[in-house]
Amino acid sequence: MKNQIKQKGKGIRLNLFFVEMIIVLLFFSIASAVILRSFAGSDRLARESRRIEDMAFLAQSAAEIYSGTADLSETAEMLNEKERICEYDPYAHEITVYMDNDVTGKMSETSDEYGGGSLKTLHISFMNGSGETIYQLDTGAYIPERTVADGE
Amino acid sequence: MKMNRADPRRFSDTISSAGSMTLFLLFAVCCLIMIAAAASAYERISSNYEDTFNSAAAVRYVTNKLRACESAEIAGENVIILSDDGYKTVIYEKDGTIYERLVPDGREVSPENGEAVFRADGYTVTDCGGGLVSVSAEGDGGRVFTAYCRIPEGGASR
Repeated sequence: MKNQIKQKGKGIRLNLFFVEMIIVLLFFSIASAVILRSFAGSDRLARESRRIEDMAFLAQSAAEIYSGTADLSETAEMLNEKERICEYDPYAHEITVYMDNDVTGKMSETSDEYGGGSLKTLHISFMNGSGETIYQLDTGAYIPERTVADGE
Repeated sequence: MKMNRADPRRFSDTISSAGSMTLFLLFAVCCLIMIAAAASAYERISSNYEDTFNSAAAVRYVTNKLRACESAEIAGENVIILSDDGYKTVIYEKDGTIYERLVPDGREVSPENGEAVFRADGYTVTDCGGGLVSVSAEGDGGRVFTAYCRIPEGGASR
């Protein structure tokens, strides 16, 4: 009887290193799942901040150019000077900016008669792939009405 | 005559050892993959951090200075002189570093002996005409930051 029990025990005997490796792998897989998730999150945040930074630079530059020229085509021309990133549609009075990661920007202008001149406003907005606005900036340029005295 | 039969205990030990070794190999491969993924993510984050706090910050700093001053002039290659009440500020680039120096009015203004404020490769200041200045700097990964800025009214660019 005693011999039988001993035999049974020997049959189910597992290598201690094997058990240890299974436990280590289990722990490793749980830890790696957590770490990979945080890596993916930080990477996504880094890309997002980079994208917002690019948009802010572009929008501020466009605003600065437009506030002095009050001309959309000139704004597009200057923005395209170093790298072709935007297209000007003269019929829609709109600039479309193409950026990485499915982000598109729209720059549209409106004009209002105001105090003997016209106040031109440029609306700059950047949208992601699902059409959600992620960055917005408005700028204006006041163009006084030309008089005969000015012409002289 | 004795029959030569396989020992079941020895066989199970062999299987167990092989399984352990396979698991250890799997563990090592997983470790390597994790290290590679971590290094790649860290590199991207670090590059972004470097760009944000060097080149992009330098461009923002210079454009903000241009917006805040009373008048400004471009006095040579990548040299800006900002004039305010009672003093002038010279911002210039030398060997990939942007320097700044405050000089009281009446003293000679020269782009030297300034204090290093940012490290920025490929820093350029261009007069685009019509009071518009373009400031650009290159990041570590070749990313170029460009910002246009209008010189304040009354300011003169040469």
